[in-house]
Amino acid sequence: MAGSDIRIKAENCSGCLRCSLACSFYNTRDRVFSLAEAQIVVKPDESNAWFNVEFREDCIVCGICVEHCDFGALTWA
Amino acid sequence: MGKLGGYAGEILKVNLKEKEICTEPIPLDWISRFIGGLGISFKLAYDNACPGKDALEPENVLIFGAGPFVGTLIPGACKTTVVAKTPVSGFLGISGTGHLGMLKFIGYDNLMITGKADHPVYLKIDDNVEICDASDLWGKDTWETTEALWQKLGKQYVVASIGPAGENMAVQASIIVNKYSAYAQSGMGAVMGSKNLKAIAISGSKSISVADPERFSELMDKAYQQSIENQKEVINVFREWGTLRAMGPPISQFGPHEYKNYSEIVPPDLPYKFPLDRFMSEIKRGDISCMGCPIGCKHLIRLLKGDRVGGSMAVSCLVGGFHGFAAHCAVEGWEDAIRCDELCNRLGMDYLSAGAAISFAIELYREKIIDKADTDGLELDWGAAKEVQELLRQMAFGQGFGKILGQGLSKGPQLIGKNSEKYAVHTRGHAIYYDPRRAMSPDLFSDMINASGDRFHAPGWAGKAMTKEFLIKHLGMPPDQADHAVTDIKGYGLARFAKWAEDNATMFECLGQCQMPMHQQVELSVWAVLYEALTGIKMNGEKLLQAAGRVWDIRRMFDFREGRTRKDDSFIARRFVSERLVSNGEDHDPVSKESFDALLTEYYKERGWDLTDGAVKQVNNDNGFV
Repeated sequence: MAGSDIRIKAENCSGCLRCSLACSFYNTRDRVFSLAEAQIVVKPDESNAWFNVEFREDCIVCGICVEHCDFGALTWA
Repeated sequence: MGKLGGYAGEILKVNLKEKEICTEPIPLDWISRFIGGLGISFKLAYDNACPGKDALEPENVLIFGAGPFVGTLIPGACKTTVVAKTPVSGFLGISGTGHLGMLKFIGYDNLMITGKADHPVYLKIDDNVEICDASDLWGKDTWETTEALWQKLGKQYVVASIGPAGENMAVQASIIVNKYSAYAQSGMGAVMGSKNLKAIAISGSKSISVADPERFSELMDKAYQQSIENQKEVINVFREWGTLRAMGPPISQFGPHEYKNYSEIVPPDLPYKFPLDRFMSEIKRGDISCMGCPIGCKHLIRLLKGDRVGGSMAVSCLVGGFHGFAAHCAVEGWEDAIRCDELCNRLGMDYLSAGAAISFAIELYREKIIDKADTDGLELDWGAAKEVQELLRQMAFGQGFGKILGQGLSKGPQLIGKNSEKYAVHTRGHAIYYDPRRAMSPDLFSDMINASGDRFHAPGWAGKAMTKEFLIKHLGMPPDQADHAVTDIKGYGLARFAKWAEDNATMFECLGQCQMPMHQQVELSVWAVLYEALTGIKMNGEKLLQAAGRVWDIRRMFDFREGRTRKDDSFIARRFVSERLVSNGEDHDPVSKESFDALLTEYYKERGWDLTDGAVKQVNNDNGFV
C-alpha cells in the first residue's frame, strides 16, 4: 500500500503542506511545486484533529515528506 | 510574458456587475518595477480604482495578490495580501494572511474584483472560473458558509468568506479563510460585502516552476538554516506559545499597552488572569501553520463556552484577541476572551478593531456621555463580557448601538456627537497596538503615519541587539548610515530608520514572505539569490529594496490622489496629545505635536517626498508610475 512504511499522526499535522510541496518538487520530472501532483494530500478535517493526511496511490515511499515534516505528523514506521 | 519561475504570470479579472471574467498576463516591466504580490496589487489599484469614490461603492477594486515565493518550500513563503480603498479611512487599505497561497495553484498571481453583483454570489475558481449564486449562503456566518461550500464542492477548496459583519459593511469586517485565518484589519470584508460577494472558493491543479531547481534547492536549505535551524530556541518558544509569547516577560513588560481604551497602562498582573499553564494543559490542542511554514505560530484550541463548547477552533493571532478584548475591554479569563475571538471569527470581524471600538463605547458609558437609552439597555463596563459579546453581534448585524460602532472610530464619534471624539483613539480610523506616550518606536511611528491596517514588525528582534552588520546585511543600509543608526539611534532618527524597515517589510510582502522576525534573520543577499534561482531574473538586494521603495511610493500616490496630505500624516488621537498617562506608578507626558512633526519631516526627507504636502516627487517613466 502506498506510503505504508510511513506512519501518519494526523493530530500533529499543522496543515503547513510542506510534505506536499516537497513531494512534488523533489519527485516531479520538471521539479515543480504542485499540490495536484504531490502524492500526499492534506485537507481540513475537524473530525480528525484539524487535518486529514492521506497518500495517493503512486506514492513511492521515498520519505521526502517525512524529512520535511517539522511537526511529527509523519514518521517512519 | 514567457513563463518565469515562481510567477503564475497571469492576473485574473472578474467584473461582478457585467459578469465578465478575463485573464491578462502580468507585464514584465511591472515585475521589474514592483516585484509581485502586493506591489502588483498596488499598481492595479492605482490604475483601476475610481478616484473620489467611496470605498463601499461598486467602483472600488478588491485585489488579492501572492508573490513569487508563495507556494514554494522557502520557509515562511506564505504571505498573501488583499488591498482596496478601505472604508476605515478612505485611503488604501491592506491586509494579509498566510492561507490563500492556493491562488498560485489556480494559475494567478493576482485576482482583481470589480463591480457589484446584482444578488449575492460566490466565486468558484478551479480549472474554470464561475460566478455562482450565493443566495442560500447570505446571512450565514463564516463557519456555516465554509462548511456549506466544503460540503458542496469538497474540502480541497480553500474558502475565503465573509460573515454578517461583511454583509452589513461594518468597517471592522474581515475576510476569513478556511474558518480561521483572517485578512483581519482594514475592513476588506466590508468591501467584499459591498460587492455582494459572499465567498471565494479555490482549488488548483496548476504548478509553479523553478528556473534553476538545483541552485534553488541549495538556497532554500540556506534560508532554512538561517531562519529555523540557527534559532531553534526561539522557534520552539514561538511554536509553543505563538503570538501569546507577548504575554510573558520580557515582552509583557512593554507589551499590550492599550488597556481600557488607553486610559491606563496594562496592569502587571493581567497575564495572571490568563494562566499560560492552563492554556497549555486544557486549551491548546495543537499547532497550526501557514502554507510552507515550519514554525506553526498559530493554534488549535478548545472552545470553553458557547454553542460549540468542547469543539475546536483554529486561531491565527491569539494575542490579537488578547489585545482586543483582555486589554482594550478588560475582559478577564480564558472562557470569555476565547468566546469573543470565536464570535469574531464566525461573524467575520477583526479582534483588535472590534475591541477598540467597544472599549471606546465602554468609556463613553462610564463617563456618562451615553447611557442605557443609547445602548438599548446594555450596561457597559470594563470586563462586562456578556455586553461586549452582545455588541460584537450588534456590530456585525448592524443593529442597536453596534450599528454606530460598526462605522468605526472615525465616523462613529461623529454620529454620536457630544464631544465623544475626545475618547476615540485611532490613527485615521485604524486601531493601534501601542501607546506612543510610553515609548515611540520606528514601527509605532510608521503605524501612526501610514495607517492602513498593515504594519511591519521591528527588525532586530529575537532578543538580539541591532548591530551595524545586521543593518547592512538585512536592511541593506549603507555602511555610513548603519554606523550612525547603531551608535546614535536618537540622532539618526527613528523616523529615518522607519523608512528602511518599511522597505524591508514591503519587499517581504511583494515576494510573498512572512515578515516574522525569525525570517528577518535571513540576509538580504540570500533573498535576492533565491529570487534569481526561482524566477531566472537577475537580482540583487539593492534592486529588491529599490522596487520596495517604489511600491511604497505608489501606495502614497494612491492616497495623495484621494486627498491625503501632510495634515493626515500629522494626525494624533486627541488623548495622546492632551492627556498624561499616569498609571501603575508610571507618569508619561503627552506626545508633543512639534516633536512628532519634526519626525515627519525627517521621514519625508528620507523618502524623498515633498516636505510641504508629502507628495511623491520624481514621478516619471523611470520610476515607473505612469
